Amino acid sequence: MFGFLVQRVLAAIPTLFIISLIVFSLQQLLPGDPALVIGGGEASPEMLAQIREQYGFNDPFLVQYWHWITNVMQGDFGVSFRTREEIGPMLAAKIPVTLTLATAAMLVSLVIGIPAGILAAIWRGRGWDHAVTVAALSGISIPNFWLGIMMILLFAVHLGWLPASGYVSFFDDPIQSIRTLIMPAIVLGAGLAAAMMRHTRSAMLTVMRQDYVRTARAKGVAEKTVILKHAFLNAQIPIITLATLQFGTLLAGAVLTEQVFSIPGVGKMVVDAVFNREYQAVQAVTLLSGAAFVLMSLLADVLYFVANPKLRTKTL
Amino acid sequence: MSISVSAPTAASDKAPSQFAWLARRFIRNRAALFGLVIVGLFVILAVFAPLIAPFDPIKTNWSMIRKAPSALHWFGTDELGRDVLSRVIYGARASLMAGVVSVLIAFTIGVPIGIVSGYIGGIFDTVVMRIIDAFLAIPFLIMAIALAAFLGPSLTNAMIAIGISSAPIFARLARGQTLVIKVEEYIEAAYSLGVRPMTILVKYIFVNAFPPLLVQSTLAIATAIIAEAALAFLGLGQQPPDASWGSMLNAGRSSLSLAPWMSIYPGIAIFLTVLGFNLLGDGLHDALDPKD
Repeated sequence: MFGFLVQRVLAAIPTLFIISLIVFSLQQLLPGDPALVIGGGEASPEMLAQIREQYGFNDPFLVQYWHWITNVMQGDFGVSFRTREEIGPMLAAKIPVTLTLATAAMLVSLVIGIPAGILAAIWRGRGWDHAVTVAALSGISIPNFWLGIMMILLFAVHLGWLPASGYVSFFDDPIQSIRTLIMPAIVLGAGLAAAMMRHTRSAMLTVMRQDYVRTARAKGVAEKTVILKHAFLNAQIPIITLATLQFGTLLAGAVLTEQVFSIPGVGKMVVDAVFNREYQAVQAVTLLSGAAFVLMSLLADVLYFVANPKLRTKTL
Repeated sequence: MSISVSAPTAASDKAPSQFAWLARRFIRNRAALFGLVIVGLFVILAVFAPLIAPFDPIKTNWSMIRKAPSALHWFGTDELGRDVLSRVIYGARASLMAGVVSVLIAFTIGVPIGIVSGYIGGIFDTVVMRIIDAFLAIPFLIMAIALAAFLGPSLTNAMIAIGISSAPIFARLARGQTLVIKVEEYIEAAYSLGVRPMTILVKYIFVNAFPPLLVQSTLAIATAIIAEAALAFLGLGQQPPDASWGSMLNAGRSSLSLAPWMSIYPGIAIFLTVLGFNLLGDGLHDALDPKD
């Protein structure tokens, strides 16, 4: 297991390197004089010179990249032009907010998606199955930012049950924290819940056709045990893959959800950065989201080991 | 001899009957047909917008600000007194164009890379796929936002951003198909007959890899429409005063309690169009799936 993990971590390094190269190359897309684009038309020549110096625009590309990546590896993502704050600590303060939201959304998707998918597979072709299929397709097709606006309209504006926006830390006020998190978590988790339903249903249908499930039934094992122990435990791999690899999609979706619900997370930070021409912050968030995906792929591999005893015996 | 070699690609003599068979399979799928009808309706709305829209979508009317839906304005009016129905109809143009153009960009970039990489194989394929994996690791929407931010906010740049962000998926799929197709006997036969590699790539591999790529394209249009709406919602897509469903939602958000219709109808339009393309993609997948 340890050897396998080391092998996977080593394999992730080139991917991370290429991600960093892609992210850094983004600034080459800035049209015209990048210093002018960042500083704006009203920037003085001194300010433009400072921008060129700070971004290293006068250096060759690879030298610029080397300076940038060595700083990034030390947690230095640069300084905000507008507020003069360091981007690294700003980002570090916002990551827990987005992680809380993404984790809550993941919980929503698991709690809704897995049972609904299992039941759809058990009752294949019946009313529930059709309802799940329609709900899953709708969940995939609905833009989450619109769903958010509609939920605000219903639950905050009309019914007044939940706050329309904002974020409260769980450690400051647990009740209010949960109240502010309910709608954003449902909005962000809806798409993944829909995908989870489809994958769980499909994985369960495949497993339930296997001989060992038929044998378990023939032996007289209770149907509940057949479904949960024999079938579901063997259908876990595609579900784990989806849950872990879609975490990156949740982070991306958080950009819109945080915008709709005014949550001060990484997503809102990146949108604000775009409009304040804080391109270093945009690069930082893009890089971190790519790195998060690589990390989640590693986690998926570890979970495969836990879920599948065959893999454990093969590598031990 | 050459007839047997070119059979999988140049099945032109059998094409009409094959197409009819596929069409029959597709039409039998009611959900897919429903998707086709939805997409068709929105295409008609987009193409004939000037004839269908009851009002000028960008003409402001200060005496009609935020009026609720009525017989005159079926979907109500917005914060500048513009007719929401007309803007929803014109908005179909931006959304459908963004969906189709960005997928064309993704297809044009991704498919040749994938096919060539899979065909050449070896170290070249490994390096290309590592780069593709790195692109795929960056969440699609964050990549699109970053690209749109660096390129500047406009519909054209949003389409380019979405196209580039979607290209790796096409490269992966095309490469996977190529790996399967290139070991087929008819490819070997073509080699033996001295067919040029470029001809093999285009006429044999691309043509046979096309069905799954078509399915992916249809589903990618749905994703691209949502992405364009998201970028416009964030202010990175179609710029005012031109109509776009995403920017309409953004404008409606600030008047949610006063004029909810400003947010409701553009969202329904996005949902229906995306649903239509998803149903169409699923239907095409089922029709083209040889296992079924």
